[in-house]
Amino acid sequence: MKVSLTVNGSAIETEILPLLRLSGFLRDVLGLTGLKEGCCEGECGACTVLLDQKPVNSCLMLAFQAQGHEILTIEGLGKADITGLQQAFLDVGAVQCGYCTPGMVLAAEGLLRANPCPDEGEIRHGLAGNICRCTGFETIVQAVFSESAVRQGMGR
Amino acid sequence: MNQISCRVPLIDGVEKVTGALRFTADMNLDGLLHCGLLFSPRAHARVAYVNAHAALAVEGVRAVFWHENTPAHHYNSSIWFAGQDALKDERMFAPVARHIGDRVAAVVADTEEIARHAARLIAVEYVDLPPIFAPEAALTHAGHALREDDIPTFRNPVADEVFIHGNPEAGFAAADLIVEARITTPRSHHCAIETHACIARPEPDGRILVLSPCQSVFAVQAVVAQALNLPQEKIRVMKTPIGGSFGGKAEPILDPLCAFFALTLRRPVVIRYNRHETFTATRTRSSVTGRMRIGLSSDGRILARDTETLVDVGAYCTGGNYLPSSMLQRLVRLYDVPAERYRGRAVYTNTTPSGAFRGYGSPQIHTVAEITLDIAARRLRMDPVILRLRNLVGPGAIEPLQGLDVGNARGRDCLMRGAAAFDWSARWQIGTGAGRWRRGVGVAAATHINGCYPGFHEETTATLRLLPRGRAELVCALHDLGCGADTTLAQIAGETLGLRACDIVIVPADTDTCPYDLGTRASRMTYICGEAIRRAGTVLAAAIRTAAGLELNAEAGDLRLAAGAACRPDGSGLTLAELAGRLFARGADLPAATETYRAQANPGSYAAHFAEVEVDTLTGRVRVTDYLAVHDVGRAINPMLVEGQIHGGIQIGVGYALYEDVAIDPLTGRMRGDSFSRYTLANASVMPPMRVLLIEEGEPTGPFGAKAVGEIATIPVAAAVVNAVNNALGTELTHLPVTPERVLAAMNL
Amino acid sequence: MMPLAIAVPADVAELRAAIVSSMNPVRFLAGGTDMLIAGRALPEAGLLIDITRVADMAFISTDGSDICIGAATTVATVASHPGLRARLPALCNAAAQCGSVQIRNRATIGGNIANAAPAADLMPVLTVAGALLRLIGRDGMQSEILLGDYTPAHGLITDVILPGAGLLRRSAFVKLGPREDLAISRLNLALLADFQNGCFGAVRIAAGALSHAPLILSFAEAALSGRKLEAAVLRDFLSTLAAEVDAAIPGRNSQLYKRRAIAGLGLDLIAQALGLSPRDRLFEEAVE
Repeated sequence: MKVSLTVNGSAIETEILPLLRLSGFLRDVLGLTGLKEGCCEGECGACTVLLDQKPVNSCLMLAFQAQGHEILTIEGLGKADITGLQQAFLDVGAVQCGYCTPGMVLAAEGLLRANPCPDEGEIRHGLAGNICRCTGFETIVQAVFSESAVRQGMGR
Repeated sequence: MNQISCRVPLIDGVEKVTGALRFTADMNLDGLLHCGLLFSPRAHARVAYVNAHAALAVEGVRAVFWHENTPAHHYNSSIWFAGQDALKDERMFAPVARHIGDRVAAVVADTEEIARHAARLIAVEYVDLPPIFAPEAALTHAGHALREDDIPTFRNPVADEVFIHGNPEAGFAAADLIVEARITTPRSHHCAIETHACIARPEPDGRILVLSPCQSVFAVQAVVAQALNLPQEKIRVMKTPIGGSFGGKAEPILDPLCAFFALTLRRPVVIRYNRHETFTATRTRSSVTGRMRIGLSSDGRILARDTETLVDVGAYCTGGNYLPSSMLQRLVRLYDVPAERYRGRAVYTNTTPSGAFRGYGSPQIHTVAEITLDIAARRLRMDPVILRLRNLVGPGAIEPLQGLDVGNARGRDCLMRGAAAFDWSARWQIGTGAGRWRRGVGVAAATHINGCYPGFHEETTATLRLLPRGRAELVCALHDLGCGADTTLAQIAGETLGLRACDIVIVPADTDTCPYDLGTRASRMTYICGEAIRRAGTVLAAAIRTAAGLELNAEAGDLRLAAGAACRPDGSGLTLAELAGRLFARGADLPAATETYRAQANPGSYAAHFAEVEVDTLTGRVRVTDYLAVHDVGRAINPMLVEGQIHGGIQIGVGYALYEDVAIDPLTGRMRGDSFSRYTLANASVMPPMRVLLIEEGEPTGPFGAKAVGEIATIPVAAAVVNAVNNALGTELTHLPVTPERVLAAMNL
Repeated sequence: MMPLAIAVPADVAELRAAIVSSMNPVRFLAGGTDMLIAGRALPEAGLLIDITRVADMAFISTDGSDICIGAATTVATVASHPGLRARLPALCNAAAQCGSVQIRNRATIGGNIANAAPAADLMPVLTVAGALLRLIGRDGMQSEILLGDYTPAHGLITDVILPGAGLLRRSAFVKLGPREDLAISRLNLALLADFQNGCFGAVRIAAGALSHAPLILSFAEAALSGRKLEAAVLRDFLSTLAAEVDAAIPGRNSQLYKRRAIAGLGLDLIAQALGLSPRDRLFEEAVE
């Protein structure tokens, strides 16, 4: 069946199999391997993408359901350079092995778009669907917090 | 110091944070074939008949493999060099399945979807054999699995280690208090977010290339060679980026299969396990039942200790036969115990095999010891920090097992500085509070090794070479497991050469281009590889100064390497890029240095962890509300990465204390915790705020004074948390994880 | 059999036509957060109808006497709807505790009901609120059915109706899982109550995860309704909760645990409904 959608700002129209998952479409068809697969049950969040600005698990969605929607993967987050949020992840050591990182960054980006000024509890709750086995989340929470402060400062 | 003690971001961080880094499952090779495996649904059964016709009839299927058409060579996946003596009980596909999830067959096909679909069409007839699930039952059972030649495949116990030091009877006789506890630790799983994967490709010269997210390319080479009965040099292994391992990828599980399929089909092959397969068909942490008896004087001196451990290694030996002695080796370096008796046994059961997992037995044995010691403190009505201080070893202590010097052991500093920072004496009290929510605090100490000395091959070779643009190349078979070892080691190299970490180009571990190294295990990266690199860097620095001296018409000894240049005392000089450029233009060799470092010591790293918990006495729910980790690291090469290791270790340890258990059903052998929805991990919401204090007193034998932190970070956590729960409730909880049910049961409610 | 066909109806008329026209088995897909979980069989044949694009199936109306929620409304929308929070905060609270942000952004209220696992978090709230479901049957006909009578065989849920007459002023939802955030409920409780001048009026309580469907706890309701908020009454209430667990899962492994844990959950439930802290002195007295 045919699907047309926007991925990282580019319009895409292509034929797909009906039961192809969005994660498989993005990774295998479009080659966006920054998207990771960790569990295929919505528990680890490694496959998180933004669907019309909101974080979703791309493994629990069929590709055809993205018809007409806008998808943002890690590849589309920073156009030329890495974003402030990504830089904050690096600066405080919120990246270790890097496998959960793309999903984590997108979940954090979705959180900040929905709630620009989250407190620590809201950050932790907002990232509850993303598992990291390396960092204990401590520096991830710090990175989101510091990026939120920067965005607030720039907004005013 | 321009690099040491600096919070340098990961040198490969940008690729990771942008998703540009290609992990094994992200690699697409021309003509790549995919696999789908069939796993045993029976805990113990002879694979009597395999019918692959239906699977072979599926379009796109290239081959089906099972025990009758694959090599019957037995191997042990835990070896790390060729010819290593180890019990060989594994096969690519066994004629007798020994656990639910054991490999029975594999389909290789054009796509993973086809392969997985076809694998479900393979018909297998099983003849059930009696299974053993309980380690206690296994202890009295030699095992009845039969190999095809009617020889029993396993004999219990697979290890029986006894150690006696001093006179335990006399020690117990003199004791004012004897405390005995029985502690059980669960089977836990690594849960690296990257599931297992491997690629193998036949090379034009008839060799096979294995691309593996592994902890040692040489271990992979040795295991594949053993499994395929090929000479080592036929196998080339390259390490790919690794999405977390924690020991879970230490043993090559997929690699022998992948290599064989690729060789047979003359096409590159990838195997990717999904999450369920990674849970049920790779490795777990062994579960341990420990009985510990401690005799103490009334002032808290340990006079004697008697420990019995029973280790469930699961269905295959792997490295399980040396687990009891590894646990002993870690146990004896923490406290000065004048009389010690230890007996450790390991047994097979028909469950998923165990293997390496962060600490290799150390979290198990220290959990047993630290919970028992806390019970002793409570009975003595003594502050558990003071009790530990009274017995901890200090700098220069000689441990009684191997007679090794524990080096600049700063466990006492960890406890004292930590107790002050945690405000321990004000927060710790005997007796429980009232009301529904009870608070308690707990402490635990730990130690861990630095490398494998005095074991075999505890040495490594590093080569550093000036590159034409003034950067330096590092060749040392390095396996960064995702924790930033490459960055740390690049800082060490950079420090010696006056370069930044990002100027060091690390050649990925490759059996063709790197000298032999044991790999990332036994907390040896910073301490062993780091020292080899420091030495190579020092030699290269001298060579660069000599070359620069000739260019500058200066005494080499007057030159200093800093900020990417060789400088005279007045600051003038030339950059290493200029130097390299001139040498290169002249056709001269660029300076290089190779150093082999053979370890001379195995000092201890030490730690003390402090936890505060709040327990809901109605629901049994435990929340860790505050956490402090104090670590004797000698010197932190990169404090940010050291803290990151500790934070991550705490997450694994909190799970070990409260949530994590693959929960093998005692009646069926089925793993209940076989997915992230049924195996609970500590997520961002439940992790407490964590503080880290580093004790940096320097280890004379370590590079720039550094010691290991990777494994020890997770070792004391579970005991600290459980001790806090016991402090809050006045209970003696000893079965991990401390689930709400167990909390309420311990309160007799 | 015919290979799988997909229909993506744009409005209810198309939806009804798709259902009626199919000679083959029909399955419905909304957020996919249940259907697409690893290890679950996907439909290989028949008709798969994606209902996420049906106009007027994703809405929340709280202005009339009854509350009406379109079945394709996401759980995130339910969690954050101000009008719903004003009238039935328990439903928002339950929705806010379903899965992760990512799950809530896709999962739908209709899916939570149709796939209802025993631990489904919205179910106990909908049960105490006396929810009615509007359905389209296999024959394309519309009908209404009580939540408790519904099985997926009745057809596709299009709307969830919460009759105004059944709503009470206070409501609460609490759950207990293996960890505090993002966990499948081991036990959950929902309550609707009137409470005035320190006294409970009508009370309705249901528990999830004690049975295949939410269980109405009528003895616990009786222990509160018409009674004053005081320690003795709460003690009574807690002992009825334990008795309800004993009756629901006698001999089950989890019985001993759940009969104790439900006390903690029960106090949290009252505290949330009345806007009190669970650490209020009153609750401590109730368990002393």
